[in-house]
Amino acid sequence: MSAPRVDIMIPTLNEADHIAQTIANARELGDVYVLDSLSTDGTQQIARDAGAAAVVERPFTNYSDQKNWGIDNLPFTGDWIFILDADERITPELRDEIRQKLARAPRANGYYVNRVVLFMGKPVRHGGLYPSWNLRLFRRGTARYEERTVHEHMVCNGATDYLHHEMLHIRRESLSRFLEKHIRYADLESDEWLKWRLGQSTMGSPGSLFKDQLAARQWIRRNIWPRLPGRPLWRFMYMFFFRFGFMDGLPGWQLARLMACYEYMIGLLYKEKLQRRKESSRSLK
Amino acid sequence: MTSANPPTRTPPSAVVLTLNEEHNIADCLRALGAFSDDIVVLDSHSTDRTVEIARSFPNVRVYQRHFDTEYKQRNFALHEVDYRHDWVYICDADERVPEDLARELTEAINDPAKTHAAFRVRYRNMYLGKWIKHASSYPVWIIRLVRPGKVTYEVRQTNVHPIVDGTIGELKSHFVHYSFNSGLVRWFAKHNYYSTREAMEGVRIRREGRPRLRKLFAADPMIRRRAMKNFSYFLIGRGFFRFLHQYLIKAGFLDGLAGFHYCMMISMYEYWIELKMTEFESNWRGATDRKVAKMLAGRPA
Repeated sequence: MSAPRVDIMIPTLNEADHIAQTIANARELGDVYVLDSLSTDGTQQIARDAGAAAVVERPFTNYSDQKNWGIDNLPFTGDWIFILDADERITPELRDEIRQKLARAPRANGYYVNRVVLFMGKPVRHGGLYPSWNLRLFRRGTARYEERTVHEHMVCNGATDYLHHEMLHIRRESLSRFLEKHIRYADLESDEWLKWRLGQSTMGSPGSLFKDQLAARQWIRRNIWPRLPGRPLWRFMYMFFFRFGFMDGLPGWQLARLMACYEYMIGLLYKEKLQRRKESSRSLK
Repeated sequence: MTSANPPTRTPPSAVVLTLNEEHNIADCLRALGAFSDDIVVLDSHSTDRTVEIARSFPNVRVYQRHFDTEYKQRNFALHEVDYRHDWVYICDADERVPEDLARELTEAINDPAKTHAAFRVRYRNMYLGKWIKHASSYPVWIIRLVRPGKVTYEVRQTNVHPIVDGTIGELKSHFVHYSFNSGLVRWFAKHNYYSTREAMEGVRIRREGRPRLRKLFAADPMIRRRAMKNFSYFLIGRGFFRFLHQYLIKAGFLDGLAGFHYCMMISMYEYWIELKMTEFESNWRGATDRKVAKMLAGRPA
């Protein structure tokens, strides 16, 4: 019997900067399928030249919908799918571990992979950013993303397991780009908050929420966190002190502050959106 | 022209620099159209309805120019555009000229006793429907009414000041500045851009070495402000100090919650500047690439 094959799906949007390296790294594990959201910087051609098995373009809808579409529609041929972002790399140790695990016909349908962030040239192993477990490897047809516009989660049918070795998340973009992204995330996240507030979220009933830790954490995020005053400060204290961010040195200090900025932007945008809603409903009356 | 003005008085021309200002441009042009019959919109190829809206106004000419740097764009507006009148009022799309300022502009340039080359004016900064007087360091004087031939913008990355050949008069009235009209996402994005430019300027100034202390005590408030700014690039904890300065020394706390948030946002912006200076001076990206190469090379044998 031949060893199970892993296909890698890489969602992209304007990743010309490093998509060639991502693909070179991913190809050492299996065939690479790029799902591109109509990049304008030539990502598609670079991906083909770098040896992607297929490059499929689709206008971006939101993160979970885009990836679900990819899972359903890309011409995968392998037994397993690994979802990799353009700014992530699979370490040789993780690659070996995946091969060994899958060769032994495992019971699990999905695997959580731990991810370490590299920021300002250093791995960040504290501040609550690590360990960061994401379900990234799954048997084809057993897993999908929960429908949410940002910070999406995967739901897997059947048993799941954890991989020991980690993958890398490289923050090598300029700070300007980092902030640009976080302004966009803050905009999306504040939309989510507004939906929770108005009770339009797709999340399940409160009764089932405490079944596992992740669900409990999500419940707190949705119902307690948005109402807490001084969130940016709490976020900073949490990352830098409670989760030992100071152990990471300068990158830990700056990341904790940047995340406080992010939290602050979410809060301000949420307030602005609530205010606008009130104004428009008043003007309708 | 308002009916209060005799027909012999000539108003100033006006110029507005725009990039995607569809939420602001109509109100801005309406206010300018109340006193001027010669308005120029210099647009940096907006992708929204800015140009379409601007063209629907009478007495408005629209030109487009690719935005390279702020000072080049502003100097183009002053020197490459022909105006019907000798004086030009410079306006941003998120600014409004109220009636009292409009009246004063026309009076000032028609007063034979005044031989200035430019006038400066103060403004009221609005946030959450409120004038955040203290938090925004009122009064800040800014040159807005000029004889185009006598004024050139300095070469700087952003926040450029005009250099005036002649004396500068002062106007009593204010314009109103709505920096949050296009929404906070836009404000954050703009300040992301400004902070990059400020950081580039900061890196350049740090390379030149500390400026002379004497300038901090100059009589001209604009020179003083600039000297303070140049000194600030040598500071550690820019964001923190800016917050203390705006919220406590300038008494931003008197502006309530709006004042607090404004001070926090400005402080966040200053933090971005400081961090970007660090980023430019120490090569983060190179360090990251080296570390990644090492980690992907595999475990040591």
